[in-house]
Amino acid sequence: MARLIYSAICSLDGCIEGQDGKFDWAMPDEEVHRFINDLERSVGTYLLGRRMYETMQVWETDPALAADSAITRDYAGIWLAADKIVFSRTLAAVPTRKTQLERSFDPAAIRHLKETAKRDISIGGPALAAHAFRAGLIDEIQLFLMPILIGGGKPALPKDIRLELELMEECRFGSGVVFLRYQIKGHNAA
Amino acid sequence: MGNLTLFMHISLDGFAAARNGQLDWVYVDDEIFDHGGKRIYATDIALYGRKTYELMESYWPTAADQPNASKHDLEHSRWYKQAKKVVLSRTLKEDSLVNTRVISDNLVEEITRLKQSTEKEILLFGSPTTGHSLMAADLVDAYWFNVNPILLGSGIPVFKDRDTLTRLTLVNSKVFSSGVVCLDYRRKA
Repeated sequence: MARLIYSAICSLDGCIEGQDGKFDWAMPDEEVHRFINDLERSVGTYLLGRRMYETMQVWETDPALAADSAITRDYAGIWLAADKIVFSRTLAAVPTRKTQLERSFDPAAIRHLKETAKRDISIGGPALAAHAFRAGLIDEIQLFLMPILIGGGKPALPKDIRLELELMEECRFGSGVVFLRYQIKGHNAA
Repeated sequence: MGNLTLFMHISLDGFAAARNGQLDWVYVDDEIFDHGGKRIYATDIALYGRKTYELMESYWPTAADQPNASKHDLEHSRWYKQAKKVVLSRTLKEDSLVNTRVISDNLVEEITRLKQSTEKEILLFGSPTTGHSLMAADLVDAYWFNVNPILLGSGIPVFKDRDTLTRLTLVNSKVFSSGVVCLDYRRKA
């Protein structure tokens, strides 16, 4: 059975973006980006909320971004190769390849996807992931903690979800970024 | 001049206590006590908000006298009794307290004077509401967190919304065998 992984880059005060919608402080440096690439190599499907999709689609729609460095080229390759499912009631169409548009989040459909997928499934951003948390579908949390307090904004983790976790991995980077990987207790790795 | 450090056991989703102040989810063992002890026992001023102070007072002064007192009970009690305690409270009256000063007003002036009185670190233990006030007044220099492997979903948050950005330097990170992760940050100058 495939693992459903919630992955996010956030400030130490737990936000993925500030009150102004900005997240320039969340941009990974080369060392962190290289690590992210290796982490995401196992992902076969991305489940994306509209905002997340709009942010990430540039990896396909902007060739200059991919061409920027060997690291970005590597990541673009990973993103392009994966299947994408975008959840949005308002998006008219999805311009990228290997991308499906769904109008609502159906836990049963996601459960079926987990049973049939051969590779890991990644979900983001936090609003979409909250649906998965509530349905008990998330198996793993991966957080990149940036050494910054941004004073408030969109929270990385869902409200009113109480869950026991097991630390699987911790990694510290030169820039002061800390990576923490947790399994949800009871959701054993396949 | 002493630095003021917030020292808290927190959930991964940034709570210092559950909704009713419950701390039953906080995991501590000898490994965590020993690691914390090294840094705590190097200080001689301990800062608290009223609720945390009352919690500490209900246990530590006599913890060493219990019949099954642990090594940590003995060590921490000894340090606690001699530490100069400072409580931020508008309601507590100083005269009824032992080895404790109360700051009820003039936060910036009082905390600055406290920092000037020592070269050692000043730890704020728990006390998230007091932490909010200190952060709002720009008085916090460092953050020392034991991140517990749990999402609480609600509770008393470590951080309150502020209209400001603070860049930090990660000084150290340590993983305990329990899965608790100690993160140690200092504010960038």
